[in-house]
Amino acid sequence: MMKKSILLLLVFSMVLSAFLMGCSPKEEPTDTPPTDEPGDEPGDEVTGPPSEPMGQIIVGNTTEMSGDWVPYWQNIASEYDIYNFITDYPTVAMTFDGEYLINDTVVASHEVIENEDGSKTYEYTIKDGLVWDDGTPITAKDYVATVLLWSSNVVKEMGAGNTYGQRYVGYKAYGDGEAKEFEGVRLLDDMKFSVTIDAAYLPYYFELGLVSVSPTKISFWTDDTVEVLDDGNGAYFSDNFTKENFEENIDKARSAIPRPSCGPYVLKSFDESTKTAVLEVNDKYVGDHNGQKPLIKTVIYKLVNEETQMDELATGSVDLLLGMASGSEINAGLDLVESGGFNFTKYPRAGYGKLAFVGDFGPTQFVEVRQAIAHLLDRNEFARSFTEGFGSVVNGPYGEALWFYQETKAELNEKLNQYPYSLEKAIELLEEGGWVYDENGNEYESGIRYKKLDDGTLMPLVIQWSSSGNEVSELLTIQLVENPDLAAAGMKIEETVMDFPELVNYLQRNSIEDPKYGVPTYGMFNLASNFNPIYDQSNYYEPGHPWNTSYSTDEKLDELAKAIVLTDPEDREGFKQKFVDFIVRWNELLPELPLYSNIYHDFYNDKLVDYDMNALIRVSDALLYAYVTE
Amino acid sequence: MARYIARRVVYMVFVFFILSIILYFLFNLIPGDPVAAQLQPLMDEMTAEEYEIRYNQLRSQMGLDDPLIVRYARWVTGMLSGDLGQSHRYRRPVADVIVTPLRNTIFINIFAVAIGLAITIPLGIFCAVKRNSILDKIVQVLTIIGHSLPHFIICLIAIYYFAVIKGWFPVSGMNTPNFEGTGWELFKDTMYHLTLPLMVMTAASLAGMTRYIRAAMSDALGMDYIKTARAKGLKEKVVIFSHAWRNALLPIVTLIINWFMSIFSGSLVVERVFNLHGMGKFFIDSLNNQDYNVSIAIQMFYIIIALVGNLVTDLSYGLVDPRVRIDS
Repeated sequence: MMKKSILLLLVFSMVLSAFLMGCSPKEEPTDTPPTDEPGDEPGDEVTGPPSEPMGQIIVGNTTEMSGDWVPYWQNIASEYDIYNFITDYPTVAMTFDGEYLINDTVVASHEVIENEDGSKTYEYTIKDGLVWDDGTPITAKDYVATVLLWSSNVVKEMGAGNTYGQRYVGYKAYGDGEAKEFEGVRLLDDMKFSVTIDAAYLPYYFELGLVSVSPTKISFWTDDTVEVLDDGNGAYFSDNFTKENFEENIDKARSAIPRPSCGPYVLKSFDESTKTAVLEVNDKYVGDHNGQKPLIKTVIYKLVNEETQMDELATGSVDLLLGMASGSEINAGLDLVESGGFNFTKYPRAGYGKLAFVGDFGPTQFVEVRQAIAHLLDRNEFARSFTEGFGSVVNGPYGEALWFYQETKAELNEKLNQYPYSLEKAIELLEEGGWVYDENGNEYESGIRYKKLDDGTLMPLVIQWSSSGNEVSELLTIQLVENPDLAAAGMKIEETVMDFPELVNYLQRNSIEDPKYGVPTYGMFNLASNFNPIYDQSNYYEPGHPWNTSYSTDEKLDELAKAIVLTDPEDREGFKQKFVDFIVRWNELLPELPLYSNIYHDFYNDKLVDYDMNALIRVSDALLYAYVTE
Repeated sequence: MARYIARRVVYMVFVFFILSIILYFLFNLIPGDPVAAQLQPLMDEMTAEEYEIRYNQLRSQMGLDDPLIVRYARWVTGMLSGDLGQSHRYRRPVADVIVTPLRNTIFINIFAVAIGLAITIPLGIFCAVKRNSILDKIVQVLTIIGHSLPHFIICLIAIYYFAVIKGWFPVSGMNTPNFEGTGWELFKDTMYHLTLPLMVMTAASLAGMTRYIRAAMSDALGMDYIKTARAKGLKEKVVIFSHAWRNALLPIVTLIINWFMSIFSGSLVVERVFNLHGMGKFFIDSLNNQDYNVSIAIQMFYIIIALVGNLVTDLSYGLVDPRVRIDS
């Protein structure tokens, strides 16, 4: 009996193993059914862009998707990509260079009205013939619905961001649920609507960015009974639009598939098990601001992990990997390109890794100390080591991809202090800053420097550094903290490693979470910054503002930061000048020390052609102009 | 028997509650502010005043302003009625978001456990019977290597050889993206994708179990009753399987039951490297995302599995060895 059992076990084991092996297809499994379209057959060489969308691209992404397809509750990068693939027809579009323009594909005509109270109205007439993917027409109501829905108190109470119309007249009353009508949004007729920017936000250099509205099919989020109305005092939803009535619908709609699309693609499916989203071309899409329609039939988003993503590309499991930043990844990708069959596009990151100083506490509140630290770190060497040669050093709060940086680069290079490595300069700065005492108040000779404060007490030049123990921290420890020149300058940095949420609590002085976080404890943090094309630094240097996490107290810097966007949109030269003035002041005060700015590399199968990417646009924009040859 | 089980169940309930208190308080000691984390994406769009209002509103909605003991009472009451709370990351009930990873893990582990047991039991018995033979020595060396190599190294070697060099299997995932076909074809596609992870899981688990079975069987084969059985002229196979194996089962049964219980717990390393949305990866992700309602729900689930596993193990002793009286 037992013998039989053992034999059975062995047989079962062999059969199961054989079965698993047998499940391996001899050929690559077909992902899509074969089509009769030209160019789809193997061997059909396509020498230029195809006349019809064809083929598929599998995009590998390392950010896991949760299945929430709107960016009002979260900001997961891959889900935002999907959102952009299925959402388009904005009244204002952005070019690949990050500049804004009226979208002629969508807007038949527009009028800009300067109102007596200083506010500004943009009146749009939408083109006839725009439709959702199901063929229903897109009208002005759909545009108004976007502003009303995503500014409403209903979604706010559900935990979503309701800031869509925050710069428009009447936002506060509408967003807080105090007013039924949104005064600054008007439904003028079936194809005409307007939005009015509040005078408090004008002038604003990126004004066009404020009046960009895309459509929303409100019946998808609610039901057919909710109407967009306007009696002359502002647009509003019919009275049945309440949280009680539609909370469940809205929650379901966030992840529902199928869902309405007005973008180049339709979200066909999302597999929660494999975290894979499939997008199929929207054949009703009439094009972006250039009239460009998609040329790739299917786009698939597949979850990959950092350790094996290059293997996925090499084996054809994915066709495109985005934003490779680490040297080892890039080198592996370049090896793959060299071996043939693959290509890459590189572009500078619109941001940087940095040491963020605290400007109102401890030694780092003194500009000379911040500058001395800059001189005691060889940033070129640091950037080279960290990015393995695929990065650069910046000297101010900008990304190299931003057009206004590109156009002022020469001037900035001339005016900005590069803070070259120099122990002598660091000592000179510290002495100028009054760090000339020893612990007994005598003239400094060796050891830690001290500074006599206004109340007569001595402050040691010991900086508490909060780090999350990542690769940057490790390199900083070697190149800065353990640098003998740091001690020679009379300075000491003490690192405390903590997890990132705790670091953020200390950075934001989050005393609600724990009173200890409210007590300034650390003088520097290693973090990262990224910039978007609407370069608005208004809140980041305002003393007392919660976004001012560098705790800068310099009023001039705050004034210059605010002045940049307070520029007439037509005054391009004035904007650039203000940008330069701000950067120069920032570079002098050094509220942060930029450490490295990566050169991102996108690697892809060379069947992908005309793929042009930069740090300002989304992958949905880049793929719209690309095509595949297979 | 029934009294014994009832007593054990009462004990399990007691342990469950004690552990729930400890875990809940421990999770609340973890630094980090889930409200700030939730508002972080919206931060740039809000004014300072709006942020403060939203922050306080959300804190209150999440019940974080209440004393810890009140929060615990609310949580445990909810849990007992099946409400495991809301996932902050997925913004859906925890009970909903946990279904897919649990299903995936069970699906994968059923095969892993079945293959593992199907190989290790015969192999362990064989090695014990043919102790110190060449084959036994080879198996011992291989199992030592398998036992010593970290799982992620085995994963990466397997991916490199079988997926990158040979191209036999995909690097990761559970299905071909955008796969279209019948249910059977989909199942075959899933198994094709799971072959490599299953191979790794099996290889990684072979060592311990094989050696354990070999040791238990070796002990059993050295006992006097085996000599008696042989002296009685019983066939060697009867001696091995009827006499030695039954006695060797006693120390092994705990291990085998633990294996079965592990069907519910995911393998963090294998799931992460092969991008399988299972319980192990899901648990670590929930910790990284400060999604503590999910983390604590998974922990409590594992506690239940462990407690039930212990009970089943104890009960099984009585079945395997009639000398053990479980109600005494």
